[in-house]
Amino acid sequence: MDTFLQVLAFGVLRAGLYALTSVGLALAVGVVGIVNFAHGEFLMLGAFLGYWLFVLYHVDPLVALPASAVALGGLGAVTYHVAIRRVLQAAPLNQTLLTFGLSIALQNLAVVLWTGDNRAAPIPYAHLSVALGSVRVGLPQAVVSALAALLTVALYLVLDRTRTGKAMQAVAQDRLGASLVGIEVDDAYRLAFALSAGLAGMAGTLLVMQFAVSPYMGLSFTLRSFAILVVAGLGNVRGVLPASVVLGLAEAFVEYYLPGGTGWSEAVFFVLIFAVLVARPQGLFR
Amino acid sequence: MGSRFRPYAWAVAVVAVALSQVGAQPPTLRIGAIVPLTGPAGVSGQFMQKAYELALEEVNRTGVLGRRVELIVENDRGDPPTGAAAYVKLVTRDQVVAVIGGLQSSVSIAVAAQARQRPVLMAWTGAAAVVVEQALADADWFFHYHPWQYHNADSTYRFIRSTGARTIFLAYEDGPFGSSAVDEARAFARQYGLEIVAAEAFKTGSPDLTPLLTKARGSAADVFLFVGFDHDVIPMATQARQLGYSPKMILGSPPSWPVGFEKLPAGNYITGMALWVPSIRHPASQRFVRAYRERFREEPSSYWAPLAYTNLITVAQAIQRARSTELGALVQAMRQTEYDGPIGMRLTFKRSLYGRNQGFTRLMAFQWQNGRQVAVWPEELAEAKLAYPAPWGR
Amino acid sequence: MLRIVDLCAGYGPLPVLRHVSLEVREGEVVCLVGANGAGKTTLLRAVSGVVRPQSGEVWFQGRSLVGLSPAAVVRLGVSHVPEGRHLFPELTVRDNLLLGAASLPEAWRRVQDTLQSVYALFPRLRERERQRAGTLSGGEQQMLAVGRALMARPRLLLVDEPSLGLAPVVAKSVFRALVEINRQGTTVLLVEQDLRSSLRMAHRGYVLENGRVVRSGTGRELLEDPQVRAAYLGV
Repeated sequence: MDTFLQVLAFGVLRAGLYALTSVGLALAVGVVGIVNFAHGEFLMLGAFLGYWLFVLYHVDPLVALPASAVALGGLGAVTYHVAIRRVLQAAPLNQTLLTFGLSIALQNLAVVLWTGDNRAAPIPYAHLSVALGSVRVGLPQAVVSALAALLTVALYLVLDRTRTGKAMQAVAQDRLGASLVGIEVDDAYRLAFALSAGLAGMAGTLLVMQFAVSPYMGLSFTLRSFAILVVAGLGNVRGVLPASVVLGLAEAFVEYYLPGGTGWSEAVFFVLIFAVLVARPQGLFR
Repeated sequence: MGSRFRPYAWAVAVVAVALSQVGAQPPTLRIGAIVPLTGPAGVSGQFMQKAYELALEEVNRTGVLGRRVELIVENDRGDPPTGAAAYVKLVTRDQVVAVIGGLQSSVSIAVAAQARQRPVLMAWTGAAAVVVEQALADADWFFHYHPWQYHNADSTYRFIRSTGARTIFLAYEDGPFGSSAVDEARAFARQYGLEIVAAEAFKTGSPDLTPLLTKARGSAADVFLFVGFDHDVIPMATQARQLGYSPKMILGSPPSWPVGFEKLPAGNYITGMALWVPSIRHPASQRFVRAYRERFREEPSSYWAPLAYTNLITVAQAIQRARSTELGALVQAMRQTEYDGPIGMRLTFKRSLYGRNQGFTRLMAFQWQNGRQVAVWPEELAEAKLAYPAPWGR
Repeated sequence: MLRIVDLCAGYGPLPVLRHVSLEVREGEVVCLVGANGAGKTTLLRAVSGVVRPQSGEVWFQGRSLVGLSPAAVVRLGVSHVPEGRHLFPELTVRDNLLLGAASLPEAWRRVQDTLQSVYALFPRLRERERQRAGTLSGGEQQMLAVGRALMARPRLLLVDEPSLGLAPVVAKSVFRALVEINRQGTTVLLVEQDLRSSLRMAHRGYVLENGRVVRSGTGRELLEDPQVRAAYLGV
């Protein structure tokens, strides 16, 4: 029973990490309708920001979060203005090529600036854990999951309870209808894209607490995020949290209880995607 | 790409013509080096480049065959086609007498294909994958410095045996790097009287290894052997401490260690295998570290630095011994190499499983102790004793 | 109030409207009739900024609308009920209505009053307040589309094919509502295929054919015009 609870806790914590890295992408896909392959690179830039702030100025990643949100949010807005805006009416393939190119460009920029090294930020509390009864969980993971839940719920509240959030939903559901009620569609898109990038940046900064920082770190998170988006239903921001929980738990249980299961966790992921696409292409949570 | 280099090529041509007309100096002796200065292995490649610079200054203090050595360094960017193109350029346009360098196996295979068509003396530092050895099995002009994968494995299990450990939990990443390690693991373990109680694959880049580590803890094996990349080492070390996982030894052998790992509290007492660490007790190594530090104001913290240094020095010595730049003579001279350099082990070239000329065949072991890589095995190179069982968290 | 002079507009190089001029005076209901593809929808879109005119002028209360974004046109007091309604299907009826005012500071200040008057006009919307817009019947969706446009407190309402796909009874109630809206002081420019009902309620009308105005007059004049009757009423 203890082991079961422990594995359950692993799964829940992992779900938090997944939700945090995916929710921004869901917003970009859902509102702007752009599949942003550079999402992982925004995350990577957020991670480098957190890393350098910690290594050079001893700023804790948790304290660096607002800076990262602002910096990456700004970059997202600029990216939207300079690039994304111009392909909104283009064929999906062109959009994909643009964001894919952006992803590679940002990656290479990071390599030029900071080399391809993997870097460890020596966070003094990274190896500590907290015990909840018989269950022991890592401190950074607990913090990340709590913040993930907080940020995701905050995003849901913004979308549901504020005029700006409603306007973003309106733009997502009917672009023409939104423009006819006086919403500047371009502004709403820019805001959604900036929020998306800002969330990615915060996720990256938090990852510094427990993961290696390198120019190449983004890709694996982008891939996982796409998987979560498929399970949630493309563009369904609300489905991200339950989809992350499903995947986090499925992975943790397969990894622990199946002999040789750690290598199978990726398979869980893709079997689930496959099943969802075939049986419920609109997503599990829609 | 080509057009970008054209001005440079013109400049070289003009200078070359000018020099030949003046006839003031004997032509330089050209050696080409293929190194990844950028890309995923760029950092290791830059260590190599600096070490070459150091070695070149030393070589040119006396010259070789009365001529000055010119080293032409080409950046392969970790990209196989770029590496292959660099080889062709060095051999055809630059007319080098030898090609040195090399780091990644993937690039090495691409270079090997070109080298088979236009062989020159190839003194190669990189590649551990046996496919490279097989690709150049009958090439007597190919000299390989780095140990092959099975040498790495042999050293690893020999070292584990020396600690008195009996059981191993093997965690390996499920790509080619980890899978090739697990293939031979059981045979080597058996040879040294060790038991692998479980072998578990994991996905490289996975941010959460807690289920894997919990499983390993359940196995109660003496040694947790971790075959993953540098970015995997951080969650492994950190999460092992979070879970209070305390085997007698955690042994990892990533191709390189993440920058800043020495400052990671969770990294303390983790053990690793390497061709060389700066702390080994060996006079040539200590001389090299001092010279490198003085010249570049930084630590030669990667074994690629002394390996590259060894590479250029031994090739220059062989040319001198051969008294010629003719390939047959160079090969004979290379075979006579006996070099006690900074790596700390004598370099000679002998037959290996498939290859004709294999240099180093053994790794050493080190332990992270209070922010330093402390050499702990073999005994003759050890700086301090291995803390075994590891006093985790103290 | 709205003056269109020599307007040419279309999609890509293909002109749909050729040198159209017309006028809507304050307080009127003006009806634009014509066959499918005559350019009626394009005309409304050119006014509301969805389509950019190729040439010509569009004046609303002395200000040019040419080149403005749809949002900017709404802010000046022109609301467009588009063909196909373009509601926000996942949002509730109430949210759809509120969004009609949310981006306009002036309208937002009086949003509760406006909401109550829209509910008074369309009591069905009040009943369905918490329902998602996508689940409404066609007639209710049309009411919501008109209601949402009214939330901006427009001075001029552009309505495109409100009766399309509706049962005659339902269509009739929509027309009644438009008359009521006009009675309360909003000018209406209506595009309709149902000539009889629309010309009956209109003060004046224009007939479009192949992108040109071919006839104009009061609603009654046009209804009694033999050519119009022959072409559009099958009489």
